[in-house]
This record gives sequence, structure tokens and C-alpha cells, in this order.
Amino acid sequence: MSAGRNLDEGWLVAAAQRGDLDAFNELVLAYQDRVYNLAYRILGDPAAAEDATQEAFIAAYRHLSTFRGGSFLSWLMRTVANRCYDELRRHKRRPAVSWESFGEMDEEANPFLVNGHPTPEEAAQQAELARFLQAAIVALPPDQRIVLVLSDVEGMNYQEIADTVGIPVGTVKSRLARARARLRDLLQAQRELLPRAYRLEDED
Amino acid sequence: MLGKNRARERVDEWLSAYIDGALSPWEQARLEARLAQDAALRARLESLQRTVALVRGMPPVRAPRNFLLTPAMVRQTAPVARRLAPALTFATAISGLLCVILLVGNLIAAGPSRLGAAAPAPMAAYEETPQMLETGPTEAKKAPPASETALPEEGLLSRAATATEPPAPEMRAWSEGTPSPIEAAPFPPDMGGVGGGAAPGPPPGEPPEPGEEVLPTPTPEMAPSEMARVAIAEGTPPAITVAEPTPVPVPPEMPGGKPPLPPTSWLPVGGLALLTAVLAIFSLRAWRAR
Repeated sequence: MSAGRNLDEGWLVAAAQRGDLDAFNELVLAYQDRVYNLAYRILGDPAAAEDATQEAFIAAYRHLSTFRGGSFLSWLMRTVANRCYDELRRHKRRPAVSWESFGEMDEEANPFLVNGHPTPEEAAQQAELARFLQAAIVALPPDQRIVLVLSDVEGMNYQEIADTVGIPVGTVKSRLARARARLRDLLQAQRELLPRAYRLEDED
Repeated sequence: MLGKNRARERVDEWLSAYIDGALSPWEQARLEARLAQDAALRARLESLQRTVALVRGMPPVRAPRNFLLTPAMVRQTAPVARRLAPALTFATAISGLLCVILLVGNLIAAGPSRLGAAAPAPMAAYEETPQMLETGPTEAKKAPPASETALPEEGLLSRAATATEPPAPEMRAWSEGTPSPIEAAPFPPDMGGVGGGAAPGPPPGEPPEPGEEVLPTPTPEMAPSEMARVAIAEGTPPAITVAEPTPVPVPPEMPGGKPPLPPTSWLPVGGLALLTAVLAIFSLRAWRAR
């Protein structure tokens, strides 16, 4: 983020704090993809991610007075992550495509299984791989999932994750390690479903 | 088994932190030394690195639509809070002020004399005791303290008797040292038990009924033990009465004092205090919602 962008962000936040809704909508347009992506990766369901994103923006506008400076994006992502975490705990939401059901799809419904056929299109493979990974991510326990998404999808460091989720840095490290190890085990267990180029070898 | 799992978790934690570059230089050097010697550990690290690379390489998902806010979306609760917060604060202040005024008014109405008169009521009762003693039997004033002559139970019995009934004639005669009109009779040796204490003897001057036991009249010349036997047989403990009136007289109104405030006078104060507290809570919530 450039210095000019930061200046704009600060001005827009200050204007929004004074009740300027247009200024806040500028911030919405700037960050809605990041916010939606985070919500989708955590919740694993497009409709739920949409709801969480909209509610997070409304909540952010209503609680702008509690923003005390610093990175507005970090504050916004914290709001979204907390909302998604609450949603997971409240409804124990199941992902739209579960990890268990992913391998049970037939070949027509699951294009990823077409990997045995010659499929030269790399982009299509990556899209399927992303779908496969998303199903594996939502199979993780919620507390591990949020840490993994904030770290490996959003690129936050340990301290930022600790601030966002409200847990110690040591807990972030251990949860992240468990999430990665569990994801690796899931991918190894279902490696036949992965494109050949992305298959993980079993180290045992 | 648990120890093995814990060891695997610990290794994964080290490998995960190594991938993020979050190990200390000493930890990193130690892990790299182990990696150089342990092929299985290297394979474990590589699989973890590929997993992390896969997740990090996921293409970001774009928002399916714009999430722009409209005034209707943010007007749902915020304007209500904006309107209510000052009004609730004002109502809280008014209610609190009324509560204080009412409280002070009640305290003034009660007055310092009333506050002072309520506490020393027992002392006033003690001050009235001589008057009561004067109106009671004079014999009681001459009697020694109960603690010196009788057991506590006997004292209670005698107090009950003297407070509720006139003194028995025998007692009056005994204490005044006059001869009893009752004819003396030998004390039956098998006489036992303690009388009711409240049964008066026959009135002076009347002959005893046939078959009724006639007890000797206690005289000052009698030995104390004999006097006690006679008194017990008659149902009146000997010389243990302490004239202590049971009815505590109501203290007279102090000059210039006011009657106590009825409990209902404090109800509005309590109600207003409760209302103030409730209004303060709602006011706080409204300000937070803003």
C-alpha cells in the first residue's frame, strides 16, 4: 500500500467517522474483494460469505467510532474474521461442499476426477485444485481454519493474526502448525483426486 | 502413543515455524542440522512446504457483487440510538435529581430529634424502671438479688408470679414479720416436688379446709432451710422475688419530637432510585450504539 493510498484511507475513514456514507463506500469498494475472499475461505459457502461480508461492512460503519487509528484494513479484517467465527460457532455451519462428499462425486459432477483424461488446460486444473483445497480447508476445526486462512490466504504474520483473533502468538503458532499438518494429511489421503502435478507423496 | 503424537506435533510446529522463518537462529541451526541427517524429516518438511504453497497459490475469490451501504441499511438502529441517547440521559438526570430531593426531604422531615429518639428507647425504659418499682410491691425492693439467693429458673418463676399477680398473703406476712393467721402444723416428711409458684394460699383469717395440709408459717426465727421447705411446699419460692416489671413502658414523646415517618414515605425514594438505575443502563447502551 502506497503512502498516497494510506493518506486517502485516513481521510476516507475520518470522513466516514463524521457520518459521510459515500466516503465509507469508497472503502467498501477498495476492500470488498479481500473481505469477501476471507469470509468465503473461512465459511466455505458463497451465500454465507455474502451475508457475512455485508454484515461486516454495516457493523464496521456503525462502530467506526471505536477505530483508533492504525491499519483500517487490519481492523476491517478483524471484524470480518470475528463475525465469521461467531457464525461458525453459532450455527456450526457445514460447508456447501464437504471434504467427505468431495470424493464421492461422480465423474460428471466432479470435473476434478476427469484428471485421468488428457486435460491440458492448466487454468481449469488450478480452478479445480482450488475447489479441492477449499473443501479440505473447511474440513478443519474452526479455530485452526481461521488461523490458516489469515496466515496462508491473507498473508498475515503471527502478531497480526494474534491481534485479529485475540489469542497469544504461541497459540497462533501451534494452531497454524496443526492446521497445516492436518491439511497435509487430508491431501495425502485423497491424493488420487489431485492433479498429478500437485499430488503429495506420503513421507512415511 | 500420546507421547509419540505429541512429539510429531512438536516436530510439525518446528517445521511450520521454519517455513515462516519464525524460528530463532539457534533453533533454525539445530533443525537444519537434523534435516541434513534425517531423510524422513526432510520428506516431512517438503510435504508441508508443498501444502502451504498450494494454499498460498489459491486464486483469490472476487466478490460476486458490490457491498455498498445505503442510508436505509445504516439507518436501522443508529438514528434511533442518536435520538434516544440524549433523551435517556436527560431522563436519567431528572430522575436522579428527584430521587435526591425526595431523599433529603425525608431526612429533614425525620429530623435529628427523631433520629436520636429512635435509638435510645431501651435506655428510656431503664430510666422508667424506678417508677415501676415504686408502683410494685415494696417487698420486692427488700428482696436480695436473684443471683444471690436462687437459681435462675427460680428467679424466672418468681418474676412471673410477682409481675402478674398480687403477692401472696403468706409472703406479705413473712416479709413484714407479723404472725401468720394460719395454724401451724408439722411439715410432712414425705412432702416433695416444687409447686406451681402461682397458686396463692388461703386468705388470711379463713380456717383451712378439712383434709388440707396446714403448713407452718415461716417466721424470722426459722432456720433458712426450713423456711425454704415451707415456701416450696406452698408453691412460693422463698425470698427470691425481684420486682422487675415485664411490661416495658412506652417512652413518652420527646418535647418537640415528631412522629416517625411511615415506611411508605421511603417507597418513592426507592422507586426513583430503581428508575434512575434502569434509565442509566439504557442510556449507556444507547450511547454505545451510536
